[in-house]
Formats: sequence, C-alpha cells, structure tokens
Amino acid sequence: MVTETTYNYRVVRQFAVMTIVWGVVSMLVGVIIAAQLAWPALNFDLPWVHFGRLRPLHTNAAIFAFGGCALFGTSLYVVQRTCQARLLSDQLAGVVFWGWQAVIVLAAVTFPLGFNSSKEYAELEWPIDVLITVVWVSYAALFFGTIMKRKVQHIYVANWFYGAFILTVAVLHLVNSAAIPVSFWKSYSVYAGTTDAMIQWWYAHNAVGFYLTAGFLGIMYYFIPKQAGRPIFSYRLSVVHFWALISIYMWAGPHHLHYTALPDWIQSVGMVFSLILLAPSWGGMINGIMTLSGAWSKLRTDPVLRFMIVSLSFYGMSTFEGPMMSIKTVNALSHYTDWTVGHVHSGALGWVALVSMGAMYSLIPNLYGLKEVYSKTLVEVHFWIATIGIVLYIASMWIAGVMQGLMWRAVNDDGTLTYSFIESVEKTFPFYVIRLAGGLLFFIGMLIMAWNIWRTIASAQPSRVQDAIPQSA
Amino acid sequence: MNSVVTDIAGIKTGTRFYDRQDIQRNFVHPLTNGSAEATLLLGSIRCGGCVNKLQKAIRPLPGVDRFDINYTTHRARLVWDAALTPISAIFDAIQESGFDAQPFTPGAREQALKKENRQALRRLGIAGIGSMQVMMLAAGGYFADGQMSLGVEQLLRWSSLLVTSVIVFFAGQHFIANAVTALRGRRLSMDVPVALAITAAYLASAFNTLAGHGETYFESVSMFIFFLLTGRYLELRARMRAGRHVDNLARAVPQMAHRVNDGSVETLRAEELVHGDRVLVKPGETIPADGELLSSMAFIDESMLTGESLTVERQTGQLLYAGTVNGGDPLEITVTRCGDNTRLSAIRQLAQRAETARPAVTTITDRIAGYFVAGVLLATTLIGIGWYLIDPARAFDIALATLVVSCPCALSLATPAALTAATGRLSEMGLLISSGETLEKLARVRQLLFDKTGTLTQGEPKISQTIPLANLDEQQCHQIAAALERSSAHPLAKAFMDFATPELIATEVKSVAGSGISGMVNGTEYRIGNALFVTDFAGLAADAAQTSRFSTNRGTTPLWLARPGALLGFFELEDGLREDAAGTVNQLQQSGVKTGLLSGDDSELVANIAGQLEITEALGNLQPEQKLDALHRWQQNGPTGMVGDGMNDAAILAGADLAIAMGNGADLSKLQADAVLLNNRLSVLPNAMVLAHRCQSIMHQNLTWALLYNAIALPLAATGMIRPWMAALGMSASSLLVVLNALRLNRNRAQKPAEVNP
Amino acid sequence: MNSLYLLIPLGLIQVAGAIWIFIWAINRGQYEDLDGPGTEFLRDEWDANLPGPTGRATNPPEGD
Repeated sequence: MVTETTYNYRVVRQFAVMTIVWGVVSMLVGVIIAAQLAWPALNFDLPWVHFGRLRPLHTNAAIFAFGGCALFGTSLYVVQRTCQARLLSDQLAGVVFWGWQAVIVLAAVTFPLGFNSSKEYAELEWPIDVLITVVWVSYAALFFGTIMKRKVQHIYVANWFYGAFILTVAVLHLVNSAAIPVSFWKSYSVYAGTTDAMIQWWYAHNAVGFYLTAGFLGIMYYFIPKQAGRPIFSYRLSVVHFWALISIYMWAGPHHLHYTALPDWIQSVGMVFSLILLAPSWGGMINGIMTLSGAWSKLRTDPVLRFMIVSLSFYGMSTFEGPMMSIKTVNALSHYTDWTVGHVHSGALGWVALVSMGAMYSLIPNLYGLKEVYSKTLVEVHFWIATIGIVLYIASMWIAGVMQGLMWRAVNDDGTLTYSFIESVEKTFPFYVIRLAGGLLFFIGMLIMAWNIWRTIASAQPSRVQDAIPQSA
Repeated sequence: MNSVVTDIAGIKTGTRFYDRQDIQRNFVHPLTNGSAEATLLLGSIRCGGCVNKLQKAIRPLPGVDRFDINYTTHRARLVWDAALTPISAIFDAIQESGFDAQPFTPGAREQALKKENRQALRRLGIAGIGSMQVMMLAAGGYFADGQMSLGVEQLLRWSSLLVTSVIVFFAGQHFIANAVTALRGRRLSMDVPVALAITAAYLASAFNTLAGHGETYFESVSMFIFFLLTGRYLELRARMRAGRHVDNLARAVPQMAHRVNDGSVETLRAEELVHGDRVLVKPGETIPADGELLSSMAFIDESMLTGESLTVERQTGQLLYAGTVNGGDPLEITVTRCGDNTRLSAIRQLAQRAETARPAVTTITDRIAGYFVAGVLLATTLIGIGWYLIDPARAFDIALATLVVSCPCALSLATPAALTAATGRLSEMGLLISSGETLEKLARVRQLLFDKTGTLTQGEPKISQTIPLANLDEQQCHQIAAALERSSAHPLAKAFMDFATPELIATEVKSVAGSGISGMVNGTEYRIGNALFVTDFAGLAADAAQTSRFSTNRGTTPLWLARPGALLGFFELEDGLREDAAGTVNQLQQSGVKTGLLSGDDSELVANIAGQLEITEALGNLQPEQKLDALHRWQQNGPTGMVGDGMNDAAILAGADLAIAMGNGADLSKLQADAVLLNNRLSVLPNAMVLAHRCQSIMHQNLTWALLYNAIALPLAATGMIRPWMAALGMSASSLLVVLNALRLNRNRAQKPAEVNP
Repeated sequence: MNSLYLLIPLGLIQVAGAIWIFIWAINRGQYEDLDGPGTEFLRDEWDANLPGPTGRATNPPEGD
C-alpha cells in the first residue's frame, strides 16, 4: 500500500547543487597547484597556500567533495526511484548531507593549516575520520533501509553497485585510517613501514575500484539508459559484470608498490590481477556503450548523452592503461613519473568527472520540474572544452612521464647517470604549462556548467518544485 | 445462430468465483503476516508498456503489498491482504485495464526446473567467487620462490584450505553425489573421474596443509569445479529454454469457465465441463475446452498452440481449441472435448513423450563414455604406479594431472547440449518433436513425400459444384452427404458441415480409407466417395461415373453420392493449396531433397497439383497399400520421409523413415509421428532440415574435438608435462567449448519478449 | 609481510559476505527475470512522483 506519493528530492537537490560547487572549487585548486608546479614562485612562501598543503586539498575535494556529492546525490535519487519507496528517514538524510559538508569544510580548513596524516587520499586527521565514519554509517542505514522498504521486488543493478561501494568503502576507511591519537589534530597510524605501505595501497586501489569505479558504474547503469531512453544493452551482463568485479578487485593494490621494499611476489600477484581486471572492466564499458546500438544518432543531437558515452570510452582507456602500467617492466619506466598523474586524470577527468557531469545535466532539471537545462548549446560548448582539456592534460603528462622515465634511467658507459634530476625537471616545464592549459580549460568548462545550472535552477517555478513533504494516498 | 449473452455486468460477477476457498486452495498461499501470495498468469501482454500500465493499476489498490510482473513469462506475483481487497476485485481491476488474468499453479516439472536452476546458480556463485580468491592466494605461492616468510606461507595455505573447503562442500559435492549415485547403479558416468579428482586433490592438499609442507592443489580443485559448473549451467539453461514452450502449453488451460444454462450463466471449474455443454468465452479469455463455435463468427488467437500471433477468423461450426484466446467479441461454443482429451492435452502428452525418450546417439555416447572412464581410471592407476617406481615425488602430481585432463566430460556433453538447443529451436519454429530420434532422421532423409489433402492443400475444401443426378435435389444431396460425413475426420468432410440437419442421422457408418464412406440414412444405404467406390456399390459399370462429363476445373476433387442402383449426385470439392507449398517444394529441391506426392485422389488432379508445385514424381488414385508400395520403392533409393495429416496416412507414416504430421489433424493423442507441424507452415520444413544438419555436424565437431583433445592431452599428462592446474584449466575449457559450440544452434532465434511490438 | 595477517583474513570475511549476499539474492528470486528490470524502470509512468511535469530531457523512452 502506498501511503506516500512523493520522494525526498530535497536531499538530492542539495547534493546535486553542492556537486557543482565543489566541482568548481576542486578544479580551481587543481589549476592553482598545476600552476605552482610550473612556477614555484606561486607558492608565495606562504605555508597555507603551499603546494604540499594544497595538493591534498585538491585530491580530497575532487574525490570526496565533488565525486562524493555526485555519488550521494545520485544514489539517493536512484534508490528511491528504482525501489519506488521514499527514503527511510528525512532526518537521517539531513545528517548525511550536513555531516558530509562539514567533513569537506573541515578538510578545506585543516589542510592549509598543515594537519595531514600523510596517507594518500586519507590525509584527514582522526577527528574528521570519526566524523566520516558517523556520516557513512548514517548513509548506509539510509540507503539500505530504503531498499528494505522497496515496493518492487527486484533490486535494480545500479543499486548493487552503490551498495558494494558503500560497504567496501566503510571497511577500507576503518582499516586504513586506524590510528592512535596523541592530540586533537595529531595521530599516528597503527601501521608502519612496508606494512603501512601495503595497507595504504590496498586502501587506495580498492578505493579506486569501489569508490571511483563501482560507485560511478552505479551512476552509469541508471543514467545512461534513462537518458538514451533505451534499456541497458544486456541486463544479464550487468549482473555478471557486477559479481566478476567484486570477486577480482581485492588484490590489484600492490601494483602501486612495484620495485619498492614490498616483497617481489606480492608485486607479481598485484600485476597478474590487475591484468585480469581488464575483462570485467571492459565488460561494463561495452554494456554501457552498446546500449546505444542502433541509435547512435542520438549522440549527435544530445550532448548530455555524449558526456556519458564519452566518459565510458575514457573508462575503457583508463582500465586498459592501468593494467598495462601494472606490468613490472612498464612500471619500471612509469613509476614516480608524471605518466601516473596522466593516468589518474584520464580516469578522474575522463571517466569520473564526465559521467558525473552528464548525470547532473540529466538529473538537475528533473529535480526542479524542468525538461532540460537552460542552454543546450552551453552543454555542447562545455563538452568540447572539457574533452580538449582532458586530451591536452593526458597527452602532456604521457610525454612528460615517458621522458622522465627515460631520462632517469639513462646511464653513461661508465655507469653514471646521464642526467641529473633537476635536468629532468627543467625538461618537464613546458609540459607542465600545457597541462595547466588543459586543466584550465577543464575548469572553465566547469564554470560554464555552473552558470548553466544556476540559470536552470533560477528559471524553475517554485510551485513546481515539491519539497519533501509526505502526502497520504 | 447468434446467441451470445450480452449481459456484461452479469459476466463481471464471475470473478467472485476466485474468492471461493476451494478455488483459492489451488493457487493462493497464506503468508505468516496475515497476507497471502498468489501467482497469476496474464494475457494480452504485448510489450513493456503493458507491464508497466498494469502494475501501476494494481499496486495502489488497498492491501496490495507486491505486484511484480515477470517480463518473460507474463506471470505476476501478488502479495496482498484479502481483508482489504478481495482477489476478485484485483481480477476485475486487471480486466478493466484491458488485460486478462488467471490463477497460475506451476506444474511439477516447472517447479523442479526452477529449483534446479536456483541450486545450480548458488553452486556457481560459491564456486566463482570462491575460486577467484583461491587463485589469488595461490598466485602468491607461485611467485614466492622461497621469499615468503613461513608465517605468511602458512597463512596462504590455511586460507586456501578454508575457501576451497567451502567450495568443495557446497559446490563440488554435486559431482561427488552424482558419482556415488552412478556407482550405485553400476554405471561409470563422467562424474566419477571428476569426483575422484576433486576428492584426491582436495584430501592431498588438506593433508599437506595440516602437515605444514608439501604440494597443494587448491587452485586446481577450485577452478576445476567452477568451470565445470559453468558448462553444466549453460546446458541447464538450454534445457530450460527448450522446455519453456511446452511448459506454457501445459499451463494454458484456465481454471474457470462460464456455462450457459438456458439463458443464465454459471461459473464453474473448467474441469467440471462435460461434452455438450454450452460455454461462454468472454473477450480476452482463454477457451477452456475444445468445442464447436456456436456464434456466427469469432477471432481467435491461436499463438499458444501454433505460435501464430495473428488472430484467425472462425465461422460457426468450426472447431475452437482449449488454450487459445478469444480475440474478439464474446462467443459461445459447444464442448466437444474437455479435460485430458483436448488437443492441447494431446500436444502436451506428445511433447512429454519426446522428453522421456532418449535418442540413440546419446545412449551410445553414454556407453562409450562409460568405457572411456574405465579406461581413464585404469590408465591413471598404471601411470601413477609407473611413476611411483621411477620418481615417487612426482607420482601423485602426474597421476592427478592425468586423471583430471582425461576426464571425458566433453564427450558426454557433446551431444545432449546440441540436441537440446536444436529441439528448443524447432519448437520455437512450430515443429514439435515427439520422438527422440527425430533430429537424426530429419538430417538423414534426402527424399520427402507429401500427402495432398490437408498437407499440401489447406484441408478446407469447399463445394464448388453440386450436380444432382437422380431424383434428389441439391439440398437433399447435401444433407445426406452431410449425415454420412458428419463423424468423419477426413478433411473433405468439412465441406459438408454446414449442411447437416438434425433430422437426418446416418447409422452404421463405415469409413473405407482412400475410398469413401457408407452408412444408413432413414433405412436406405448410401455411399459417398470416389468413382470406383461408388460405381461398385451402385452396381454400375466403372465408366458410368465419368468425371470428365462434369469437371470444369482440374484442380478439384470429385465426390459421388450413390445408393444401390443409382448415382445420386456429384460434388466438386475445391481445396486450395497452402500459400507456402510452392515455396517449400522449391526450397527443398534446391537443397537437394527430392519431393514426391502420393494421394488417394484423382490422378489428373494430382498431376495438376504436382505440375503447379514442380514436384518430380506424383501418383494419384492410390489405395493405402499402393501408397505403402510407392513408399517402399522410394526407400530403395534412400531414407524417405513422409508428411501427412496423420489420420488417413497412419499406416504409411508408420512405414516412413521420418513421419511428420500436420497440426490440423484432429486426434493428436493417437499420433505416431516423429514430429507435428503445429502451425501447419510447410515452410518450416526446409529450415528444420537445415537445422537438423547443423545439429548433426555440431555434434560431430564436438565428438571429434572431445576425442582429439583426450588423445593429445593424455600422453602429455602421462609424461609429466602438465601440472594439475593446467589440466584443470584445459579440461574445463574443453567442456565449455563443447557447450558453447552447441549453443550456436540458438543463433537467429526469435526476438526477446521486450522487443515485441504492440 | 605483516599486513597480510590483517588483509587476508579481512578478504576472507568479505568473500564470505559476498557469497552470503549472492545466495540471498538467488533465494529471493532477484535473478529470476533478467529481461524486465532493464526496461521497466524506463517508463515515464515511473516518474509519477517527480516534481513538476513528467517530462524528461531530450529522449523519451522508446516503444511506448
């Protein structure tokens, strides 16, 4: 029996809007630190805007603020719609939203102040980690509680991806961030040395796998069919894809630690399973792209759909590049170079950002009672600017990376190194500038999106925007 | 003759029938929390929009907790609280939305298959997820090369033991259980070496883990189980798909029927109908029994029986069949057959019969596999002993590898998978296989003989000309002829149906195959049939009945009515050719199949038709024994198939190497054909033969591969070149290959339900 | 490799969880119908509880 006829869109709107806001912020910081790498003078000798302190701000803002709000918002939207049930509790939704915003703001404050646990992508100090745990538990309760309330027996596949993302990230966070506090803003990890390295990269790579991949695949499996108006190419494949991904992802982590103090055999295991991971990843990509099979013309007319499909292409590219880079011989060249940065950003900009943007363009007008965004032309412009930006970014980093790798390993006949480190830095400079240009373009695209979305929301009529008030049948 | 009850409001109350406790007992299951669960079979679902529309209509009803429609099977699961809404109201709501629903009780067979599917999936999931982990743990061991600390090594081994134990006990025990059953039945099935390999490898690994040192084979065991289960699962899916059409047939009969008793409509269980009952069928409802149409006209959806999704038009007096759906206005029928005697029942029995019969080729392969297994076990033992004498350390490893790699799973899967896929495909095409040998026969025959009436022709003869020859007028001739033909199952009898009157009844009716019918009407003996049959009886000279005197059209069948001493009348019956007859014959000839036509009808007519269709050899005026002789003559040149209506050709069908009966024959339950063409589409035949060929070739490919693989792999393993995990991989891949190859037969199969257009 | 003493048992627990959820899904009939869910959620009627008109962006679902 249906006693409520509306869903809680309020929290979805909140998260969607903040996705745009944090997108702008994270990319702005990205542009700043890219500039600093090219022109160190831009550090201004001020600790609070120093590269070392801004870099974690950028990564955390991009992943957890921008990406996080996209995941929260879309997941709470998708779970309600596909289960035909309203969120478990509006209060809990509020806790999740405001709690998460608090986490982000605290990050924005503590990083420039220099509070940093020194674990990559988990730099936040322990009080904020505790807050994250609280928010996450609430989120899990909210999400799974809504599923339990469902009116539809079948749980749509996107929810499975979201669910796996939520549960796994919880485990990852608890294990990796385990630390002993010594003061309010200082703690020491319970792990040390190579043990810590192993756990750190177990965390980080599974975060890539379950946060950046599974989570956003959840977005993909809902928004691409919805935007295209066609069912996913093979629903059966999506289920198989899910289980394959879940089963295999655990042990790819060591590929971050090739040629380090980590025992050789663990590195090898990491390499093998990174390669095996290629199969399920591409299965998902094919499933998404082939959804348009027989209707490719839609790509011409719908730039929003284009964002989503192109994001899948980048996803495919990254999930091919990754396994390649995890091969030891390749890694011997690429490790510590900017190629790694290029790889990260092809995934982050190409896959994560583009699919989020596509989803937001699709979602936000709906949330405000409109058919589509304020200006479709601007979406087109955004698309092209963003894509060109990504290409510039990746290409420059590839060249820089390979160049660095080759320069660092070059030896003279007598066995001495041919190049000093600073020489490689010098040679990298022009590529840093190109990368900055690419990032700047991407940032400008984001600004265009922000303006477009703002105009969209502004044109919404309040009467058509229902709030989260339940109505009885 | 239009006596349709038009009281729609009265009809609606019929759904209250479902509120009855005794009715609900069959399809409603009470749940613990006070609500109940029921499964309904929905009709008139044409597309996804229908599904959504209906769900949206039903879900908001008070008390309805769940209403989920399965897209493929068109069944809905309803969970509701009857205190708030009686189920009759839900049925009404479904009807108001424009659909039809009836209670659904899945048959035992389907329940069993569903359960099997779930069990197989559970095992597959455990094996799949688990073996990925074991592989990762094992990979560590492979790369270690002595660098691993003892603690970590033990950790990996014990973890592998833990996960593998789960896999073996929850997924692998399936093979062990099957093997035990086989051994108890004194059979050596392919599960025996599999079970042996799993047990040996697992126990050895467990022992070595407990001992703290020595080789372990956990990844081999896990992968082995996983890949084998995958192959079996694919085969199960093929089996389920093949049987689904038949399952739907079995479930097509509704529970409820409306009987008309002197103007009032009574709703009762369909089982309670008897012969002669007058039954009302509302629009969209399924017809509950075979019967003659009383209404003037009806549009029927026969897709359940024939696969034809277009509605067909039926006239008064024509037969309607249980399981088909009324696609037009309310109609009435007089029940002729009900319960287990309906055509639907007959088809179901035919299909069931085919299922239980195992084709010879599978039995042979099983037997061979049995010997093979014995050979493998022997070889393994010898090789194990041999290596023990040479190099004891490697003996177990090599013996295990030999056992695993030479397991004849591919051999046993080679044929069943292909047969299942082909059978399913044929059933989708409209050709229902009723014998285990049919596919093989379909592939073998290169000559196909056709009957004329009802096979190449539509079997809907019309009287194009009637010429009274004596003192009876046209109408009287018709009526006497009708009386004689009334209980005849011959296709020609249909032409006279309209003329039957209750006053003229024929008694002592005797039907002489190939000739005609004799009987007594009002004290006089009459005969109706071909010229010879009639002139004999009438005591006239053979040339008294000269067709050429009357026939104007060569494509017709002449029939004569006579009494002792006089020819009473001449009827000219026209029976049009099926529209796909010419195309079918053409296709057959082009693919190298010789065609022939054997008929008891007039030679000129037969020659005429043969000419139209370009059939090479045609013979008319044949008595049944002569037909049989003709068949034998053809058989001297090779295996010959026969396509007939199954009724009048029973003898010759029995003698043919392949017997295909047209679906419009009346008494399917007595059919002894190898296959029934349910939708009467001749064009299916050439495609069926192509499919049968493909099936044969795929089976041969599979068998060749299976044997070749073993021939190569066994020596390699015996000489110690293959490690157990390679053996596991190779053997599983081989089985998987065989199953996938067989599934190729499903290419080009019918569209998924989601794509069907409204 | 001390980390493995934590990570491997953790992984095993996660695998156990994954298997348990998989079996739950099968027992609850989640994977009985794999054709319907792919198309069902696309229907416009599904959008009944959307604020404002039930329009969506540029591509209405096909085959209505």
